[in-house]
Amino acid sequence: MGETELSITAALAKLDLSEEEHQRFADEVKKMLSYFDIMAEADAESQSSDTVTMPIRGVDALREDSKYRFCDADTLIDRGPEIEDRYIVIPNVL
Amino acid sequence: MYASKIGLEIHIQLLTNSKIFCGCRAAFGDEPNTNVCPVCMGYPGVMPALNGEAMRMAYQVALALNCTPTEHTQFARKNYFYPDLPKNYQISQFGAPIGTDGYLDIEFHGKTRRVRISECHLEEDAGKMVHAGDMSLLDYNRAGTPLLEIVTEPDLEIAEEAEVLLTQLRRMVRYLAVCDGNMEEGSMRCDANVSVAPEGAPLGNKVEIKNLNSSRFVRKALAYEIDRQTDILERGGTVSVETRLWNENRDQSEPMRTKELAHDYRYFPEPDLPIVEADASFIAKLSDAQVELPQARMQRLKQVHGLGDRVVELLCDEKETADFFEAVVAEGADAGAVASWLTSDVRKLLNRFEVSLAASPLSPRRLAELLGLLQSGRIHGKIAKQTLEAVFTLDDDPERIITEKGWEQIVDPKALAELAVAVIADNPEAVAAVRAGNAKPLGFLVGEAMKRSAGRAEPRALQQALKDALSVEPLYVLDFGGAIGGERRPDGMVQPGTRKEVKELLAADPDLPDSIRFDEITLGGFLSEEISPRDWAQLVSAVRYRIEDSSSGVVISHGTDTLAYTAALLSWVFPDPQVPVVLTAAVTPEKAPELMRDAVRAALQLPPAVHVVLEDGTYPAVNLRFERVEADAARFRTWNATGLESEQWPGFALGDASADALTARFETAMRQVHIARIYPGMRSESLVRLMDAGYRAFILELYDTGTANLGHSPFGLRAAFEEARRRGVRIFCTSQQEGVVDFQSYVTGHALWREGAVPMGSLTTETAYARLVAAMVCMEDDDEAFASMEHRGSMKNE
Amino acid sequence: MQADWNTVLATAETLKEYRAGVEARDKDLGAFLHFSPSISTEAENPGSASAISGLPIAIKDNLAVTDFPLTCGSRLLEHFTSPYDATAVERLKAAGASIVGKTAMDEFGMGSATDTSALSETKNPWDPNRTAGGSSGGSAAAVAAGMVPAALGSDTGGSVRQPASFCGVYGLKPTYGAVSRFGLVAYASSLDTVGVIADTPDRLEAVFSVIAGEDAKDQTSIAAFSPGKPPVAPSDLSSLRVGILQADESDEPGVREAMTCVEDVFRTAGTEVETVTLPFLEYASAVYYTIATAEAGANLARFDGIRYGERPLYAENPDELVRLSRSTGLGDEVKLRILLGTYVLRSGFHDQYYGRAQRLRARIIQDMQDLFSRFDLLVSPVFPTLAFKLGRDGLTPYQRKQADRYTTVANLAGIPALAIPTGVHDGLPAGVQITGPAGGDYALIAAAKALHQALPPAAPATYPRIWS
Repeated sequence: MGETELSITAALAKLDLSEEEHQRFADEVKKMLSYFDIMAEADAESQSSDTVTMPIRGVDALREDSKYRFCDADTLIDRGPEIEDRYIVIPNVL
Repeated sequence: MYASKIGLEIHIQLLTNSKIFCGCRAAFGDEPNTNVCPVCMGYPGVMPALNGEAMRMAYQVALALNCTPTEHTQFARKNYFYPDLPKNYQISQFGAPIGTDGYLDIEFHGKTRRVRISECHLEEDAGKMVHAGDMSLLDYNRAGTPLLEIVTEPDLEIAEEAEVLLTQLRRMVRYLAVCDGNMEEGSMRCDANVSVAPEGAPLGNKVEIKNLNSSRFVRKALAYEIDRQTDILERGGTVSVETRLWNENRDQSEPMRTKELAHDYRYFPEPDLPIVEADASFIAKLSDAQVELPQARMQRLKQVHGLGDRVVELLCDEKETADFFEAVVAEGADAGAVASWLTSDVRKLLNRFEVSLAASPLSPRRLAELLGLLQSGRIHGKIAKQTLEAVFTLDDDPERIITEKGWEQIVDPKALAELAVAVIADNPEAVAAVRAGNAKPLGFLVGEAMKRSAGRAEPRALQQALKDALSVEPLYVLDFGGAIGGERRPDGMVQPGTRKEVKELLAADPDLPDSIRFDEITLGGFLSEEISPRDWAQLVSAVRYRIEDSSSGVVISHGTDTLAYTAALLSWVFPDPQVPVVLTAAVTPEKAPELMRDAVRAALQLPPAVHVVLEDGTYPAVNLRFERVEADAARFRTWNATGLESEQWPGFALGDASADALTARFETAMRQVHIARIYPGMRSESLVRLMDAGYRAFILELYDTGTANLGHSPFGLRAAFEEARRRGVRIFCTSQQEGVVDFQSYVTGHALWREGAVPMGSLTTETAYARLVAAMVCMEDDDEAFASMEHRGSMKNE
Repeated sequence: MQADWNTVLATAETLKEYRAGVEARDKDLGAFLHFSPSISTEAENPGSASAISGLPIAIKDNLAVTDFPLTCGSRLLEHFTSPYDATAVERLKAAGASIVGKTAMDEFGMGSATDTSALSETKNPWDPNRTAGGSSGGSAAAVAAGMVPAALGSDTGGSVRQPASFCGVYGLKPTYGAVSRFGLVAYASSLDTVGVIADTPDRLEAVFSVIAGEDAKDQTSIAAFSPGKPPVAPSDLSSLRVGILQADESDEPGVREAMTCVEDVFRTAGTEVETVTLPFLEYASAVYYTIATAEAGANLARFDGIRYGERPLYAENPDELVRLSRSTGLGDEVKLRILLGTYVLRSGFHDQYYGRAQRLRARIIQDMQDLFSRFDLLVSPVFPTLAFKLGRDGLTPYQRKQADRYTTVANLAGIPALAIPTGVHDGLPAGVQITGPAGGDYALIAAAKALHQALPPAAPATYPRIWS
């Protein structure tokens, strides 16, 4: 993974990296990615199969369409870092 | 030539009680951040709990769109950061959407098209962000509302088709009761992809258009985009791949600010949700419970009840109305009557009282009862309307209303016969005149009898009682000018004027029964080439009065020049006259006696409809073409005699406007409609000037099955069509030749269709013009009148 | 005579004694991030409602407990308290247990030494210079040091078993879906499980039977485990078919000794024992880290400082707000995993990494199914080392990740695995893990009970048992 790739990845993940961090993470990510390469050989000989790791449910076994509340909305508002008239506030692009 | 391709991505909000992944209320208009919980706010540790009803609704739509339902459907995470997206990923679907490979058939200006649906997938909606100065305010009430995204293939060609598709989809989801289809409020949203390329070339670069929050904006924005791309290509440029936003205030699209980073959604299967199985029994259960969809219902109502396209469309626009219609018919009412009441008078009252059909005091039983009263003659049309209104104001049954109000008419034949006998006995002079052969005093006698009944006698039955008592058949002859009613001057020229009385003319005719009585009404001493809007209004008003009066038939003498127009006009405004209405015309006054006799005979023999009697026989009133003139004869022919079924071209209800009001309406209509014939050298400019002058509709007579020069030169009509489309001016196209205009056979024809030309099928220019004028006279809403010029089914699927 | 765990919270007096005892012990250990025991009414009448009535239980700080902190060991959530209970917690409360505190962990569960947390570092009760393991190190240390009889942890790649083993206690990673994940702050959702750490197999069973079972709030939870299912009797070891993973000579001697010790117990009991190899062990960690980081990248995207959590005092625009919140709120190990996870899903790299890992995971699932058609359980090491040293003398982050190979298999395959202590080696606890087929959780516990009789665990000398 090159420098630009790390920058693009960091931007997608909304992480700012200092120059020092950039260097450090580039090394560590590179190390992990080359470790991941051991999958290549095993994968080449594997028959492609769909992983089904999730359980299967019928539609009738899903949630019933009824309203319920397990938590008061006001307590969520109280946890917001910045609130005005029940709205959560963030800076605007000017 | 350029080809355009449009694909749509439509999001519909499903009308579940709770959100897709939590129990919060899925509703709008509440205080910000009240319908929220840790799940839809993206709190740490919470998990989505998929709403089974959202799945059911999604599968219902997929099935209605003819999609193959996915047996094992799965959700996926679509990763992107945005403040209105609480988890900074959206739970959507990627590899295994609800349904794939469906289609929806649409029709625009006679052209049907199968639009392929590539997939329907379910996802969660985001919250809302409001900008306020240097801050943005976030409300997550909407976050987690179930959204079904419907993705079409780029099968649409023009903006209007996209609008039609949205209208149809809206109707469908409302039928299914899964979405209210309100684009303005955002419960139905549309993004579009547009690409233009030279005809035959591979698909052009794709531009995405967003922010289309009404079907009108969709049409405007897409038309704008096709023009924009075409312009770029014509100038030799390249269309850049981008996303543009429609700016409704400036009527143009603007490029969206490009993010420094291209999106990379990094989809992967959602590990917090199970794979959902929609097995055969589940699908079968859904299919069984599926309501009849609008298209199917329209088709059925058309077939079962023989109703016209426009009427079934109006009836089926809302499921509520169609259900109501069928309920009234099930009560035994006549389908045609129910349809016309529902689409006119009832609709007006609903608008006036601002109430929905379901919430109104009118029940199917009450409407059936009202129509029953009308049909049995216990009330007549005017009282029926009055009674309908009373149902709305009093919330009572029609039967009780007319009894309490004393609105019931006298229909008992015995009572009416007694009334007739009494009036005859008291008015010997009038009776003598009638016996002598004059029909005019009949009206006087009817009036007298009506007075005696205190206005409660059923007029038609009373007239019949009087006619029976006197053993007469009154026939009305309307002199509407033309040479047939004129005379030849010594210099040989024909001038309008007085003609010998028909009575005299026909006195010696041994073929006519003795019971015939005539009344002659002179409407104008003019030649038929001089007809004005006022004349038409007078004629229509007079015919309406005579049809409603005691007549057994109406004969109209007319000139040859404009006969084709007037005949068509009468047939459009009197689609169902109670008596035969016969028009006749001759080139010379000398032919008059013989023709008049033929016309009178026709009026006695032919079924109740508008007919034209000419020297060489009887013609239907529409599509008459004045083809040939000779010294003493005019030759007419009916063009496209087959393909004029009345279901395809139903007539209109004239209503009871006064002659003066009709004059005003005719003048207004005729001031806005222009007939133009294309020819080598015709300039767009001339049509545009007419538009400047206030013309809003053209009957444009093209070549062949609908071809014209659509080039960009001054002699091409492209500019005129573009201008018309921009201004909402309609261009209805007929042919200079006999044949069906369908825009199907030639590239230029298709190009015309693309530009919004409306094909008039087999109608001649005269008939089409008369139809448009009639529609505008009979309908209050011009758009509704324009819509009635559309007809379906003349074109095959591609 | 030791006091009864079930009555430790019964009165103000016992509570005070308990609080003081725990606080004294934890001063040096750092097992708790938050400790606030209260009197339990259930404890006045112990044993009446359930085996866990009145029992003080510690909860890893990535499981939601109403009005308790839910920091996940992260600076970003340092002041965040949960407005709701995780389903497992709700069930514990309903069964009469008392939640006494939240335990330390690696930030968002990402680590194996409870030293990636910005908020604390947990020491091993057996040796303060060594790690308690991770990421549920706080929970394991709290049980091992006799501060609670049981604790909940979470196990995504070994985070319950490895610290349990490092601390000499029992640690169960249940079948995927056996315990509702609702309320567990997600690290890698397809691998995450809520696990139990306890001082005895009986206790572990009592807690597990309460929290297991289908939950409407987690639709990936499975119905196979109904809550309160009666415990199974200790299994008759001789009737089992046991696979023993072939020793890896690079594993520490203490680890290999533990394996031999357990094999001997089985052989002595007359159990059918066979040595097996798992070829995929070589790449299991790579598969695990690819999938886990990919899911983590998405799971941790919600921590943006907008709706809750810490945010910077000033930001120019929403994007900056989000970037600053994340960049200052998240630690290095978390950032590294987010970067990795984002990268392996990017278009162009997706198939090479994520797609490949998914395919190999399918193969591991299949291989383990095949294995359990021949064996009732598999004995394997938990980690290639015993508790390693904290700081520079320990393992590097890279070495730690590769060392996760024994534990990650159960997570990738969604099957249950239980770490059991087998004895003490050079002053440090040693142990093995037993793994069974999906749904075989109770069978594993039954086997653990039998092994418990043969290999009774010891307590660290510095933290003698006060309650039992």
